[in-house]
Amino acid sequence: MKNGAGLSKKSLKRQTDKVLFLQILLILAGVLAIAAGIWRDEVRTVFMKATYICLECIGIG
Amino acid sequence: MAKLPLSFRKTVQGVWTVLTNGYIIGFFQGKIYNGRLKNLCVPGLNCYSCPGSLGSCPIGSLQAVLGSAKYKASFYLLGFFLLVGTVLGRLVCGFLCPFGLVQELLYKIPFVKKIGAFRLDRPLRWLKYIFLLLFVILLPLFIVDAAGTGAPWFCKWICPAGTLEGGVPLVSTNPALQSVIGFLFQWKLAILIVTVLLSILIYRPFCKYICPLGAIYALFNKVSIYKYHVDLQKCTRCKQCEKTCPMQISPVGEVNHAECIR
Repeated sequence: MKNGAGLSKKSLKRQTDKVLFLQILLILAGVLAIAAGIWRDEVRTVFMKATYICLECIGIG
Repeated sequence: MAKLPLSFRKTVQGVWTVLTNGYIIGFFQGKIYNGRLKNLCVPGLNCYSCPGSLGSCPIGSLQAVLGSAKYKASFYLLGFFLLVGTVLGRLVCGFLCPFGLVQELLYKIPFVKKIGAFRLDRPLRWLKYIFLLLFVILLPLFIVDAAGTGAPWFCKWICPAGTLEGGVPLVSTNPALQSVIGFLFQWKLAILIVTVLLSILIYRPFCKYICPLGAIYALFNKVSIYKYHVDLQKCTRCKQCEKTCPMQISPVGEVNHAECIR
């Protein structure tokens, strides 16, 4: 049995599983990277930049 | 059932823009919000120097961390892009970006002949990856002053969102800032005016050709959790979707293409 894209049900399932695995991997990597960023105190740099008027952003210098 | 006066997309875009820019008092006082919410980034391009902004701009934040003397990589922003990109892809561009909404509204201005696909349209879309690599990553990282600090090159020399959301409201309400405007402000204002004019003629020109944030999310479009599924057995190949798509891609032939903003 093939779908509209010419893929059999089995290969479609394999492809879907691969994408799902990649999605889980990317989300886990994202969560870990955010945790590492917080641990390295990068958030403070973001906060400091964001809470003072960014003169470059508004075109002052 | 009564039809909504606005489309679902416009409603979400409007509500999101108001929610993430809810520090209304800032617009009247010429100040910006400096509470704890600014520790967090918003998914779309939303200048953190916009008086109403409650969150941080991810592109500005990335340049701030890369340009700081302390760090040469940003795990916080890498993780943010991995997470948001994997879940939503360029849905962010379509639904959660205030600057995208501004361009869409400008494109609605009638009485002007709109420009659809043109010969250089597709090659020009690669420009945003160059802006990402050069202005957001390499220049802030490697062109540093004596203290080891790099400037946010994209925000400083290119970003019209910063001029519109931060520059114009702050300069118009803050006399101290008015007294120090010079060439850079005029340059950025010129870029904003060109962007506004082009947005009347072309659908989302900044998103298509310039936006480094869109370039990042584009990398996730094929694998993101939210994406289009086309039932090819039901497709009649009428190409109506292709003719309707304002991003000039084929939703059937190029499903979940990097340029698809959902």
